[in-house]
Amino acid sequence: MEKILSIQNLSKKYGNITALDNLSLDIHRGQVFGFLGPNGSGKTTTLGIVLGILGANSGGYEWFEGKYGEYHRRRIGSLLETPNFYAYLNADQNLDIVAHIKKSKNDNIEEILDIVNLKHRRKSKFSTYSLGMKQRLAIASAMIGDPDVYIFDEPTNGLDPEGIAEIRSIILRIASTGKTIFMASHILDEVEKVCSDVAIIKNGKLLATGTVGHILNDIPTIQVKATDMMALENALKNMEGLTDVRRLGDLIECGISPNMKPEEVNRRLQQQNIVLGHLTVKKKRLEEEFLAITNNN
Amino acid sequence: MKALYLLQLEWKKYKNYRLFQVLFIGYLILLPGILWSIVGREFGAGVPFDPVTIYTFPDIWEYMAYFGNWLMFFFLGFVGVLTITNEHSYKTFRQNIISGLTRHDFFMAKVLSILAIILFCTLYFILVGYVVGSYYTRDPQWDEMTEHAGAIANFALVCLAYSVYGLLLGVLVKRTGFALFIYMVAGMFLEKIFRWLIHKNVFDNVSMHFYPFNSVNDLTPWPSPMIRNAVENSGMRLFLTTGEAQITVWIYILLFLAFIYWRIRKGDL
Repeated sequence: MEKILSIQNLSKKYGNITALDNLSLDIHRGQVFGFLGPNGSGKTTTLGIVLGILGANSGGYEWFEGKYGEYHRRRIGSLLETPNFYAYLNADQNLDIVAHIKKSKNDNIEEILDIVNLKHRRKSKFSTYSLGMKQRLAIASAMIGDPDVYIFDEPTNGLDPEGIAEIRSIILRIASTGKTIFMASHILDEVEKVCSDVAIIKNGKLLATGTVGHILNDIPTIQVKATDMMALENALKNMEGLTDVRRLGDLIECGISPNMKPEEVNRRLQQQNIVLGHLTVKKKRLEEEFLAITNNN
Repeated sequence: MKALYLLQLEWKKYKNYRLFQVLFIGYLILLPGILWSIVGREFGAGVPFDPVTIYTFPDIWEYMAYFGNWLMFFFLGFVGVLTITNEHSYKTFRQNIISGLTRHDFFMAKVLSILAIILFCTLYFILVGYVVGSYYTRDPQWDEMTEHAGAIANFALVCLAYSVYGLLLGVLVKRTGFALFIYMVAGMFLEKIFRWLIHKNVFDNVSMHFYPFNSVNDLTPWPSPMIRNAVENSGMRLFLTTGEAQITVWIYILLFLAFIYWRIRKGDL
């Protein structure tokens, strides 16, 4: 499958602070790729570098396997942090500038503004827009030229619940057309709802990457309880196939490897005269996985 | 074609920008307005030049270049500053790059648009000089009309210099109000203070005249030779020759443009 973006060993420092540490990542055509990490983890820095507004200290990146040279960004629709437009121009005029930069001649500006629900305010100056309207105009701007690839950086930042729902539905609508999307977010729910793939980053380092399904399904956990919790905890810690044994209120939770079945855990505990009063199998949610991955690093 | 694409882009950005409209209209009104405000006025016996020469051929070009120098310090200097600082304050420089413009193209768009504005301003300068000079000069001849027309080229160089100084301040300071303030203070006071209080007292040398704003001022000096002669007869050297001023200004323009290009190409946005 065609590589849309290939990042190799990207590093970036701001003075003594390492924002990115040898980051490598590939994004392929058609992926809806979530870039997940806490605030300050290096997501925006990564996007800034691959969009040409920040310089890297080392490493490199390549868009579209080098097909379009230095004008590759004309084929990418981006919303990076806050929406940036000429405050004294209206929506039509601002989108006209974007279309001119992208050398895009066949845009139906009216239709795009309709999709983002801004048609009624198209003649108003950008400076009069609310944050949600500005964000929607930024998405409209990203849609100019009907790009194959979209980059969204915290697209729902600062929006009210209605605005968040609107932006998400627009992104889902774009994703449903088969476009490649690279979306940075610290909101797990957002990534879980929108993305097919996810990369987790913390302190500039890539901690994990894979499909959302892989991360969600491959690492189930069990929660157990017995009369003698001390004995139960010791037994679990010594049992092969279990990881990350920890107390969770009056339960004990642990990760369970794919080749270990919960009933096998129960059987082995019974062999040690530990009778379980409670056993539940739980698929880890992305949030828990995210916390587990980021806390372990 | 690329130049046209970049010029159209800048046109789309600024055709509706109110401050630019005010500055342009100001120039269009003030340039002939200054000449017409002088027509027919009596300056008294103490004035060491004939006021009629201000609006008649051949001296009209040099006087207009002198007045135009003052106008352009504000008009094109401000345009130079604003064309960069606006892009920073609205973060549209960053957005232009994200949308697909290269940094090289961004720089070229600014330079080309400045050149287009200078072309327009210079053509208007010629038009005003031609109309006013032809109207008030009795039976103007071609030789007389073009005798001091070299001032037109100096005026165009003045325009380029102030625009580039403005661009430089915009690139260095980034914040509109502060950049305009620094530009005005530097041009009107700081450089003069530096030249006459510091440079002269530390190193009393003719090099004190080769400063950026002073060399632009000396491109279009007050045309009446009487003042200049009086000063130079007293043994002082206050002005650069036109040739010295031209070379100095070109050196500053090229150096500053190289620096602006480097900053635009290299900086994080």
